[in-house]
Parts: sequence; structure tokens; C-alpha cells
Amino acid sequence: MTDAKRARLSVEEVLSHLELCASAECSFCRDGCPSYRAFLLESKAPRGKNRVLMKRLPEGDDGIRSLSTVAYECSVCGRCSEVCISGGDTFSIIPEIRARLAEEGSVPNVLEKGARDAMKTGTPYSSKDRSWADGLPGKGKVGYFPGCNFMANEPDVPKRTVHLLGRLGIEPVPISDHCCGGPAFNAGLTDLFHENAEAFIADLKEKGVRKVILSCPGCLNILRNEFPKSGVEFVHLVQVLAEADVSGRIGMRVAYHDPCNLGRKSYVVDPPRALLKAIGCEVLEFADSGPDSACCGGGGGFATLHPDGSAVSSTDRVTEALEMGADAIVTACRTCRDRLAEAAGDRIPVYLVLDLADGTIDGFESALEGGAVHD
Amino acid sequence: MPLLDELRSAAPDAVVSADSDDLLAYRDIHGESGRISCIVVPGTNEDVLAVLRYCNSHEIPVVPWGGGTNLAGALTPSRRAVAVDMKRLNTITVEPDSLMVKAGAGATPDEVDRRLRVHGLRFHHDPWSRRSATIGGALALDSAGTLYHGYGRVGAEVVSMTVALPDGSIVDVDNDPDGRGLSTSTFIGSEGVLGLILEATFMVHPTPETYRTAGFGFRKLERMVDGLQALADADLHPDSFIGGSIPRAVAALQPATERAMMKALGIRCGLFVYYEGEEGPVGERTSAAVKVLSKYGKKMPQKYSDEWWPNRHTYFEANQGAVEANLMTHVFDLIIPQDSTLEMAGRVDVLAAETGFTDALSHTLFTALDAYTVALYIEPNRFGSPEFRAFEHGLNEAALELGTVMRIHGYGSHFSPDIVRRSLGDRLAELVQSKIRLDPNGILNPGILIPDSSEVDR
Repeated sequence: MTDAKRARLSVEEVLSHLELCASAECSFCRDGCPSYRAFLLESKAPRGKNRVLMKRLPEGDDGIRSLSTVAYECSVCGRCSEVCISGGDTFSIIPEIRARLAEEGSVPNVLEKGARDAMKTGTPYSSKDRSWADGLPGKGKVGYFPGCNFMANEPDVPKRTVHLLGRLGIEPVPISDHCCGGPAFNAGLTDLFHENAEAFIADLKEKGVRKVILSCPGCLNILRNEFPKSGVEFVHLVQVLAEADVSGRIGMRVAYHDPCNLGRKSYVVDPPRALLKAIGCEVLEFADSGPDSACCGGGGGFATLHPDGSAVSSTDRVTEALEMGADAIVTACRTCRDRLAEAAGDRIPVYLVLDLADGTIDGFESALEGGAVHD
Repeated sequence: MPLLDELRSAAPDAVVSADSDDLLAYRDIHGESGRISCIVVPGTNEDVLAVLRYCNSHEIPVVPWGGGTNLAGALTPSRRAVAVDMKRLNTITVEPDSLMVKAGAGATPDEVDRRLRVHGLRFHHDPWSRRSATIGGALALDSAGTLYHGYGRVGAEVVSMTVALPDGSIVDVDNDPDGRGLSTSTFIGSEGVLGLILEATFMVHPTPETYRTAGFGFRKLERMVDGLQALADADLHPDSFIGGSIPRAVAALQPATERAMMKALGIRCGLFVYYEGEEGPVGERTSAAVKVLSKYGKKMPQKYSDEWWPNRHTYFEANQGAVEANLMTHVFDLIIPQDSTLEMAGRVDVLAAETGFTDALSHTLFTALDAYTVALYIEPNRFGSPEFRAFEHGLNEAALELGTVMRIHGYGSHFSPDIVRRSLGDRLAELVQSKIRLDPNGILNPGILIPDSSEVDR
């Protein structure tokens, strides 16, 4: 087995992080925390959670079993650690606590069942459309992995992406047999996650793939940051498109929302902006953007467990975009897009970067057809 | 009916909880646990009034919660209390034509500033904690921020406030005393012992057209202090600045490029200065300041000061090193007149040597020539140790002899009654009289700032 990237933390290591947090008392992490925004209680913000952890962790198994709400009332957006000035690093602690809860058999049922089913069937959804892969080669150095979410719920996106990549001279090897393992990782089921990761990597090696292009930032984060080291490079589609020679005259003022998994965890900040500018967009910045971006509230199983609470963060984001005078919100993540679109209603359209780039390269067809965005 | 049910009934829009995890999150991590019996997060001003009425009639102590930084223990009452978390009361109304903003107690300075920026205005209170502090908490402590030199503390621009009194009544006050002698100054800096600030209206200012920054390195603290004094003498006091010594305990952990630069320049102290206003005058003042400071130190590459100002709320060079080394930072804020700065620094050096904190020590001047801060970068287990207490005691005594203990974080429960009495002087007597009049049952923040109500009664 290859070495896992994320090392498990001992209780003592966790407590040393917590001591630093306790000594700082700054609460920078509360601002923008989806969990705090949802519940408005200190115990739901990272600092408050750390205080609970400081008390419960030394209590052994009973203490750990009591930490379910601390661990799962979190979108694992990572903003708390990004803005932390004390070294408390709550974001590193939460996966460790989830892993310990899993060892104690205390994962919420809906997350555990979803994760086990996904690892078994290769998708957390009931099916996945593989028609986008028709005619693509079985072996090659560059692969394309749309992510289960797109394959199950928006199969048009993988098809358009393959078409786009083809115009750029890239004919990728389709990767679609396995789930990335995100559901298992987010649930804390580390053994299951690593078992799946080994199978995923073996599939890549068998196909001779050295570089994988992804559509889903969540999958990108898992493959790039949580998978065992494999020597395979993982990039997001916006990175590939930003390097291509594309241009357009869309003429929209768009507020770009950085997905946490792309901007903060994978540090892909400039490419989507460069791409949007290249196709003629004026890019407006949220007050919190790039690695400091606020979360849409949708990640880490948070929207599944707390849909109403999750909506608070996405509504905040939409309100800010409207105040900025944006014509549209653009993001690069399907989950973010859906959360934001749900909060936006008919007040402002929400697009994937692909929707705009695809339209530009193909002469304003597909996603923007009939829309009011290209006058 | 149990307390929780009573409070839920009295304040229907409030979140009320006595869950053990919730109580843990609201307790003073360095203090005794169990002093918070339940938490109320009011959704309306009426909720606040109802909770106060109930608690007053049952003589149940109340501790108002803002951002919760609790740096001076202002959230650690001497008796079990109901915590009233004001953060949901965060409505902000901008009146751009009259250059005013009305902000609820729970709004953060950052939220207020963001709303003002749309109108070409800005909020004068700009503390490092601008995204976690609250308007109510800042006014209760009369905090200071990076624009302190030009605009004073947060309370300096208040024109009126609405306050919930301990008996559950409500009062609107402005800067002139009303028939009962109540004004904004009654409550500003009163650390939540006289009333709960519900909202405040502030004068605001146009956003400056532009700004310039410059950074300098000095071989000695004395050179930096002399340089700052020379700026003041030349009528070039920066609109904001931060400068201080880099503690040995973390200097080695600076990024390699900065470490090399510091070594090459012989830097033991760093200073960043900031000027704002119209393009021409700002450029002229900054150039003049650079000329003056060049006589005392060496100018840093511009990129360092360029990075500093936009990131000033989180930009702590030493702190980054401290995080790397798993050290905690403990800060003591003082007011030391400019002509006593170096004497104070000398005494602090001796004190640090006597208590074993020489490597952990940093001296800082921040925004004004008399705003002097001592920071210790120490292992968490040294906080509160006998040598730490000895250092703290010696520092406070020296500060009170040469200046005073600054109260931007309040006196809370961390300072001894003797230190508070000597620091506040007549202001403490006024607070005690107001406490007897407004809060005869002593329910608001007992033991904070002034002795507990039972002692006041006596």
C-alpha cells in the first residue's frame, strides 16, 4: 500500500493545536463559518468546537462518542484554518475526529450508508451516464474524470467537456469506474476510503494515465490532497482552458465564487479568472475570495444533514453578488452552483465557468442559448 | 417553571440553551468553568429587555456577550450568570447624506465598514479583530484600532445610543446628559456593568482618496523611538503605524529571505508607517517621512510595507513565527508618555531578565507614540505560571508609575481591584455611583471592573 498523505493525529497532537487556539481567543474563524451562520451559537463555530474538544477528548471513548455534532456540523470548507492566526487548525482536526467517530461506529447513518453504497457501486448516486466516453481511447497519458455528480445529474457537462477538449486537441482516456472516495472521506471511514483510493490508482496505472483532468473540484481535492502519492497529476478543467488560446466578447459583469475545494484547498485561484477575462467577462470579486473565500454552505455532507442551515451561507453570497451589481454569479463547482442557484431563485443567474467558456468557443451555443447574457 | 422555559417564554425570538457543549463554548477557557448557567441569543431588542426584566426580578446575574475575545476576562462574572449573546442584533442602517451609520450591538466593525464603502465612506474603528469584535463589545470597552491616532477610540465618533437598562427598561442617550444624568459616556467603557448597548449611531468619514506606506528597519529600539519622535516634531506623525522589536524566540523562524534581509541590514526592530488623504499631499508627506526616518534606520524593500497595510488585521510577523514554534502570544497594552518610552522599555528588559522571559519579549508601539505594548511569546504552559505573574505584576507597577495600563481590552476580571482603582481614579467612583443607581440588584456582569454588588451596597 502506498503511503497515505494525511497522517493521523494523536490525541496529544490535537490537544496541542487546541491549546494554541484557546490561548489566542481571537475568533477570526467564526466569521464566515457556515456552521456558525446556520446555528448562531458559539459552540457551532470553530473556536467553540475546539473548547468542546478540549474537554471531551481526554475523556476517552465516551468523550469521543459525544463529538458527533462537533464533527459533522461542519462543511469542511477549511476557511477556519485559512484565517487562523493561532495555529489552532480546526480544519485538520475535524477529519481526525470523524475518523475516530467512525472507529467508534458513530457516523450518522445517512452519511455511512451513502459512503458504503458509493464505494461499492462506484457512485453515490443511483446511476451514472457513461455515454460521454463513447469513442474515447482505452489507454493514454491524459485522462478525464467528470466526477459522479456530473455523470449522474448533468451528463451534458462531460459530453460538452469532451467536445471542448477535442477542439483543444486532447482526446482523453475516460475515467469512470470508481468514485473518488469523497463520501467515505467526509464520513471519516478512512479504511474504506483508502481501499477505494488504491483501486482508483490501480485503474489509472492500468490505463497508463499520468495526468487527469477533472470537472469536479470536490473530486480534485480528494485526488490531489487526500489520495496516497501515485505520481499522477490532477488538474481542473479551468486550468486546461486557461492555458488554451481562447477569447470571447461576452461582455458580462460576473461575480466569481471560488469553490473551497478549488480556491482554498487546491490553490487554483488565477486560472478561472484568467479564463473568464479572456472570454470577455469583467470579474467582480467578493470581499472574501481566493483562498479566503466564503463557503456556499454545501460541502462535507453539511447540506445533506442541515439543508436549512446550509442555505444561510449561500443566501449571504447571493446577496453580496447582487449588491456588487453583478450580471451573474459564476463558479466552477456543481455543488456550489446548485446551492447558489437555489438561493438566487430568479434574482440572478448562476453559471459554471464551463457554461460560458463552452459557449464562447463553440460560438454561443449550448448552455447560454436563448439567454440574456450575450447581447 | 424552570429557568430555560421561563426565558423561552419571555423571549420568544431568542435561542435559549443550557446544553453542556454550548456552555463549554461560552466559558472562560482560562477561568473557572460553570459560571454560565444558560445562554440566550436574542433575536430582537424586545428579547433583551424581556430577559433583563426576568433576570432582574429574580436577581439572576447576566453577562453580555459580543465577539467573545475576553482578553481581560470581561466575560467571567463572579457569580453564575445567564450569557446574553448579542450577535444576532446586527442591523446596519447607513445615512450617507448625513454621514452617519446606525449599527446594532452584534454587527462587526468589518460589516459596518463594508456597508459604508458602497457609499464612499468608511468606519473609523479598525481593530485587528474587526471581523470578530462587535459594536456593542467595542463600545463597552471603548476599544482602539489602527486609526486611533486620527480618530480616537471607537466611542469618540458616537452621537447617540440605545441601551437596555438592568431593570428591562430602554433608554436613548446622546452626548449631552439627560434629566437623569445619562449620556453616551455613561455607558462607553463601562464594560457592560450598567446596561446592554442595543445600537449606536456614529459619525462616519469619506474614504481617503489614496494612501502610501513605508517600512524601515532599525538596529535598536532607541533608534526607532527617536525616529518616530522626529516624525512627530516635523509634523509628520503617521496616520497609522506599527513598530517594534522582534523577539529572539521567533526571529529565527522568519522566512529565509526576510531573515537574510534582517541580518544584512542589522535589523532588530521593524516599523511600518501609513499616510492617507489626497494624492499629492500624501505623496509629499510620505516622501518627507522617508527622508526623516532614513536618518535613524534603513528603508525596507517596498513590497514589505505594500503587503502590510492590506493585511494589517492578520499581519503579525512575529506571530507567524510563534505559530510555527507552537508558542502563544500574550499582550499587555499600556499608555506610556513618549518621553518615558525608553525608560519603560529598560525596566521591562530588566523585568524579563529577572523572570526568564528575555527571549520571549517584544516591545511595540502602535498607532500613537504613547500606545506601548509588551508581548510575550511563550509556551502555553508558562501562561499563568508564578514567573508570568511576577512579570505581569512588575509590568503593571512600572506602567502605573510612568503612565497607565491601557484599557482597549477592558479591565474585566484579570486586573486586581488595586490596579483598576489606580488606573481609573475618579472614573471608577462615577461608575460605582451609576451602578448603585441603575443596577441596585447588581445583576449586570458582577465582579467585572468594579467590585461585586454586595460590596457596592456595603
